[in-house]
Amino acid sequence: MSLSILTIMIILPLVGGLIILLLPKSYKEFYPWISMGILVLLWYNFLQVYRGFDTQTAGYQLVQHSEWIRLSLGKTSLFSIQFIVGIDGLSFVMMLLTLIVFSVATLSSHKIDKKEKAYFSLLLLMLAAVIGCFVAVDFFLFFVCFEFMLLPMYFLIGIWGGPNRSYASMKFLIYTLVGSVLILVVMLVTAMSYSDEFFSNEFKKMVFSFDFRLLDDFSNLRKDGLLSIKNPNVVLGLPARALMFFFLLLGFGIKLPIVPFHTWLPDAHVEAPTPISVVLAGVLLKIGGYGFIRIVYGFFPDMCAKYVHLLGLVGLIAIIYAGFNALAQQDLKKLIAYSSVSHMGFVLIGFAALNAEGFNGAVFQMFSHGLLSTMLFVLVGVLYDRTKNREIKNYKGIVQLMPIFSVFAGVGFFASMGLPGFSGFIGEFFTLFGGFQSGNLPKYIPVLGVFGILISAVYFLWTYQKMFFGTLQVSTNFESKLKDLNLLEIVILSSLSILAIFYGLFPNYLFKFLDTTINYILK
Amino acid sequence: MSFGLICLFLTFISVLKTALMNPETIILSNLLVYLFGFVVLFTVKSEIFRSFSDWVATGIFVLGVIFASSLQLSISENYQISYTWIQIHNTTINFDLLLDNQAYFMYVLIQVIALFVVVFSSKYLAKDVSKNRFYAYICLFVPAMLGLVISGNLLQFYIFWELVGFCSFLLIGFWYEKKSANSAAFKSFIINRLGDCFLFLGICFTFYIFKSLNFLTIAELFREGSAFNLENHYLNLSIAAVLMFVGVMSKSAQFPLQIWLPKAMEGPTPASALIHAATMVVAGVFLLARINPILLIEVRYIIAFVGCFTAVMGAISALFQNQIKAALAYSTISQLGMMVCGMGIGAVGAANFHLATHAFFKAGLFLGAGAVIDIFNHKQDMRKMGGLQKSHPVLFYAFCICGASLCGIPLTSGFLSKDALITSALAFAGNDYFSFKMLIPLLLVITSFITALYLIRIVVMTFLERQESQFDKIIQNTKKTVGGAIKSFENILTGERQEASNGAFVDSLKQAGIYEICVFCLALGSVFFVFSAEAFSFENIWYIKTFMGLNARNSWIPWVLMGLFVLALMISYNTTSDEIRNFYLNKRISGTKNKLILWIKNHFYIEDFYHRIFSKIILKYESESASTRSLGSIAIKAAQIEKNIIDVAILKITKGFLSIAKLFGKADSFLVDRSVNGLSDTIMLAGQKIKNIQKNNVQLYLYTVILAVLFIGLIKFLF
Repeated sequence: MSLSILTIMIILPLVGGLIILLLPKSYKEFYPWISMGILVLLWYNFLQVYRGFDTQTAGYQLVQHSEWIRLSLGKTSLFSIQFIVGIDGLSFVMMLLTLIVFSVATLSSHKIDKKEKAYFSLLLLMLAAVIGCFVAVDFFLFFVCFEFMLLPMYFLIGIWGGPNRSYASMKFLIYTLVGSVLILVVMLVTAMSYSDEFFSNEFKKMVFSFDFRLLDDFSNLRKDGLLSIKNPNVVLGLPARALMFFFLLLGFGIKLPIVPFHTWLPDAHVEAPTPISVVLAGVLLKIGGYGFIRIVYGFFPDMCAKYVHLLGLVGLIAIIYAGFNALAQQDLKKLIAYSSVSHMGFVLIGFAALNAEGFNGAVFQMFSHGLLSTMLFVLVGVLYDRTKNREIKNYKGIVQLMPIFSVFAGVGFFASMGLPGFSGFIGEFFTLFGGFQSGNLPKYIPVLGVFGILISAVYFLWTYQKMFFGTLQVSTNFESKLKDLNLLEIVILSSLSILAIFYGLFPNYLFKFLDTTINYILK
Repeated sequence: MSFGLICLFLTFISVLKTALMNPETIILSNLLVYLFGFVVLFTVKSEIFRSFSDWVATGIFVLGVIFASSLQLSISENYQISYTWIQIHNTTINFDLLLDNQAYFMYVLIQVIALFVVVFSSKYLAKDVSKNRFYAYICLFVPAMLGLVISGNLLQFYIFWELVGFCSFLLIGFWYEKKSANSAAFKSFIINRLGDCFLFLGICFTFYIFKSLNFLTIAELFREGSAFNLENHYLNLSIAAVLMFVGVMSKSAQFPLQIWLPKAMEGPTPASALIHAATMVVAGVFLLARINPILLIEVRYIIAFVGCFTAVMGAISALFQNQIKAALAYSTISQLGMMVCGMGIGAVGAANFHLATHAFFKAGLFLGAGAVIDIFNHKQDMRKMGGLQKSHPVLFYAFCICGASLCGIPLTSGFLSKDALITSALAFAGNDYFSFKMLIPLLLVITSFITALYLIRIVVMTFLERQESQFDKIIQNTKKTVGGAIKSFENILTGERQEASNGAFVDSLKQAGIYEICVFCLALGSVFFVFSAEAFSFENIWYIKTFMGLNARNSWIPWVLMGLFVLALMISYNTTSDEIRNFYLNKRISGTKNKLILWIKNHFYIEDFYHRIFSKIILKYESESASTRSLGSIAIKAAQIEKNIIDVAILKITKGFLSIAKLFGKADSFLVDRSVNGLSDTIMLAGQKIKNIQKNNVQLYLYTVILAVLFIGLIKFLF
């Protein structure tokens, strides 16, 4: 059996991780190089995918389909778990983001100075799982990859994190496991409510499949299934469909995160080392949003339309509430973490619009936030590496010591507050614009959501002025440590800035991948 | 030599015309030159570069003017071109280039003024180490502003709108070490962002109604009225326009969002001249011109009244300022109010014309003020100035010409534009002299009168004799010098050529430095012949065709304006009553009047009001206590909810799970373990008991057998 390019992209990081695991400790200076090498190979493969990618095709492309597990349930039915990978516009964009973010994370991992072997193999394992998540076309495969992401993350925070790391990593694990359990329940219920006509005839048995392409289609829904539309079964006082919808919403919502299930995020961010924060904010949060479009909307479009008001309201609350919380933070990293929560609120409003503008805007916002939060966490990392201190009040007027750093921080901050010309603006604009044009969503949600950009301006601007402007006022032992950026940091930050500006000026380079797919999903 | 330069200039233009045929290429290269300049000036830090960066910056802006001129020569009428920028499903957002008369004119005007500002700055900021950064910011601002005026649709307009706001933030906070500059930059950015939010909503509403953002398409749809149902959308359309107008309020400093503009004077004076007087602040007026076709009559009233109210308010506050820049800033607010009012009443041509003339004379006044400030060692207090007339005559005359234009004296451009505005307002009010609409021209006339008052005050305090000595002497001097001022005004008005033939004046011209040249050029731009060949009629302005069919010749407005100006001069000339003296010199004011004047001087404490609200509910910006962030109530509440409710709830739930787990643990040890143990104990006990049976006790066997037989017999008997 020949492996498709996407399968190779899942396997490559695993192989890299294995190589690192097998290499003796004396070669530890090669670990980052091996990781980088794997990423270069992935970029090469991704280029091949890009070449073969047709933006006009709606469904999955480059599909590889093979049997994986066949589990017989008595004489009448059968679970057919398949290994299906494929890529469409949405996964393409997410893959692009994944590769960018992981490249940055790997480049900034050279500061790791303990248990390098475990660190790099876990990082690569996580990369494989993330790629798997984005290319999986089978719910079971998706779920496996989803779970495989959590454990490396737990260890990466728990071992290489800050002083309060065990608390943070445990909190992260518990939260996300609750989410996974809910998703697991929905997965089983959904699979058993659909039946695959073709295979059923072939095997003379009821075949339950996890194929997304099957589950996305109402016509495959079994009449007597739990999730049947015409004959709603009531479970725990709610129609089964609604209950499953809420389970999924919560499962992915914890990941996104939605208020009030977001409190794991600031803690995890503050404790995680810089590259892990980058990965966490840059990619892992996006899996929540990806799951929302692919799975929540894919399976339950009727429920989405029904509870659109709730979705929008949750997004609005996230924008405003997390915005004010960001204002209240004294730790720079925590501020950025809350601003992430606030920005994800825009994503939710975009979803709630349930139209092309909103969905496209939401995905764009996720992509843009991936770039910008990566940049912001790298910036915080620069400061923390030098002084081991992230309190905003301890810095004043540091533009005089670190002029280049200040320029990049300015770019990051202003881009994050949605200044036109940077990618953040396009995302925020289209989510709110979509929300406004939507027939389902009450107007007050995007109207109030707009003021989120005012709040973000307040906290980012205030912080920037306090830290960088004014007369120089830092403690004397900081002053000697605050050296300006080195070459590697300049390379990372400038490439991220260029990307943010590029996608801000030419957003169609992203939208052209998304548009057909989103229309197909919204059909 | 100058002839040679002009020849070179013309050759350049013709070369550009042939090399770059279409206007979009010219515009693109024009903008790219600025951006390139920004990157170079911002990044290159070497000392050698710094020594000739003045020339680099000037070169960039000269090139810009050349581009602009070649553009103007190569286009005839309204020119629109669209590129697809974003395509989502059925929504297409274009990049529209719209070049009509007003866009052309603005396009040239911005770059011309920017050129003078840059030349001026080469001296003004000569000693500043971060001079290059200043040039870089201006290089960033100019393309943003140019992009704004050539925008063909609302989203594109919004993008550049925010960018110019950002540049304004950079320039206000240019001296970032200064606390006051930071605070001013913060305030202006936040207020502008607030306006941006409203503008954004207005844009969304507009798209919701028209399904398009293109200015021309929207106007067309509105005119046809068939493509959308006006009856149904009447309210929506009003809301959209009002929301966009709130955006205008913030950018063009209209009541109640005007307070950031006086604060913006923290920036370098040349930047104030370019951004906070001539160009950026008129962006709002420009937007009103663009959306004018879709304004409904109710909205027009709102806009017109807000405009004239702001005009009067700004003018009154300008009367009592002691800082020269603050006085000019309030004057800008007032003039912007007039323009907004003009847009409100639908006099697009007149308002646009006033915008253009204002750009020249206000830039001239600001640069003049900059020169004065520099001469007085960067002190801005007018009470400590005076006597510049003798030492810097060219500056004085140039300043006076610009000022005359601001006051609307005949032969200046300001006369034409104010005349046009007030005549339009009168036409809007109609013939009913007792309708509330009559307030609009009335307020505009009052504004013009106060404008003359405060301008003369500025001239007197700055250029005429020093006023620090005894009070009576000051009055004497003032009387004398105001007389001199009138004379010089007359001299200027009756013809500059006479002045030029004056030997002393020529001498001083020869000695004139960069300051004088810049201000003088802008003053020349404030004279009527730049805009029209006729000095007394606004009907033949070469670049504006539409004045709503007004007849300027029959109007009595110019005579009223003239009369009021003479009255203003008389007041200042005959400053006999104590009140007027105090009012002019702002000294020895006591009691309730003091309070009143303070109230006006601080612009009715609007800013304090906002400041209090903002620091109460959001953030105490000024607080310097570095230990904690001083938050407003909402932020504190949010943080408390986060800490005390959500986190605690989650902790409680987790603890609940833990205690359930403990309970199960106990249940496990008590119930399950016990029962298992109990079972085994019971079995052991039973075994102990049962083993007695096996002890060969014959009597026991016998008993058992008998009992068994009896038991069986009983059962048989019973059933």
